[in-house]
Amino acid sequence: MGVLRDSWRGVRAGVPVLMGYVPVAMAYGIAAEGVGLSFWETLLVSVFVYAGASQFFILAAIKLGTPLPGIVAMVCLLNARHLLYGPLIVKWLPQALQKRLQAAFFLTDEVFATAFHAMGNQPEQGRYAWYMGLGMTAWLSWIGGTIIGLVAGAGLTAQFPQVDQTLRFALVALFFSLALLSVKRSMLFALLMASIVTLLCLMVAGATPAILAGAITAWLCFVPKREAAPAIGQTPSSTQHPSAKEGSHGTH
Amino acid sequence: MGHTEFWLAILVMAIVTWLTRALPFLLMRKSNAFGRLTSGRFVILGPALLVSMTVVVVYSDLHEASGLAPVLTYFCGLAAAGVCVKLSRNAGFAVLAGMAGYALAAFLLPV
Repeated sequence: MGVLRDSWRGVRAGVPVLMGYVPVAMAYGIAAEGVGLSFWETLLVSVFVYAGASQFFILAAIKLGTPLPGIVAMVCLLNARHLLYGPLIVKWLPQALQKRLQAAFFLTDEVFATAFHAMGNQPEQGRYAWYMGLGMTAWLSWIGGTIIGLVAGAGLTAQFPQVDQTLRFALVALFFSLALLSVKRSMLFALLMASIVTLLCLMVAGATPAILAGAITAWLCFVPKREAAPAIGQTPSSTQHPSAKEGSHGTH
Repeated sequence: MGHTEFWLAILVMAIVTWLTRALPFLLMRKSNAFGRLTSGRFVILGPALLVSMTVVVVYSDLHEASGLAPVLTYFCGLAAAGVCVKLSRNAGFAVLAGMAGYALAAFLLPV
């Protein structure tokens, strides 16, 4: 019962992701039909590749007749930012490698963002179930959105453009809210510099290099807050190391 | 692209995508380098990734917007989400508030 309860909490945490994924996955389904993929080809790409940007890139590459090594190289570059996600949430995952590798399948941008913010607040025993509930919700909503796009076609989004636009805004609101929640006062300067570099990089090099450049800039500009000098009578060893304090974001 | 080549491409891309997410978990067992990403100066990486992703999605959307009304609508949605997250500290409520703010602004503002 405990596992079910924790999973259900994960499912509920995944609702904002669901609301954002469905219209984007619908757009993918509609676009895939447009480049001549069959129902099953389109659906199985969503089931197994499960990566929004890469899937849209695959469609463009198919249309342009790009050779396989070129597609694989671009997908690697597009997904390079995912390398940073695992280490940042691993402290909340079980030690067993098999479970971590299962969890990795669901680790999209939105799942990472939600997990990074909320996973540490879950009871320790229930974190994996919570994460899997979140991950499954996101994955199934992506698959469901693809099917709706394939079945309903472009007519649905054309008929209700306001609803489509509003649903698409869910992902923006999700990233914006989670970013606001994760920012601490001592990080403001570094994150401001990161935003500027991300924006500049985005204009010339695209999304993934921009995100990576932003993360590196923040790391370069960030100075962990130093603790005050120990008071009289207090031993130096009783003063917490600055990095330990700054690093206490999670429960690890 | 032939049928076999298409499925091969999909298989390779599925494995590549999963590997980019799983590789750190595999490497962390061999080396402590990835483990250091959660302490000291590295604690900013998580928030920095979230902020950078936000900048990317906001810029990409606004870049496509034509005229003032879509931009104002967009910022109304962001403001609603921002105010709600500050008051409630709950991202789920903030998403709903953001969508409500966006929908309301789209309804009220002339296109």
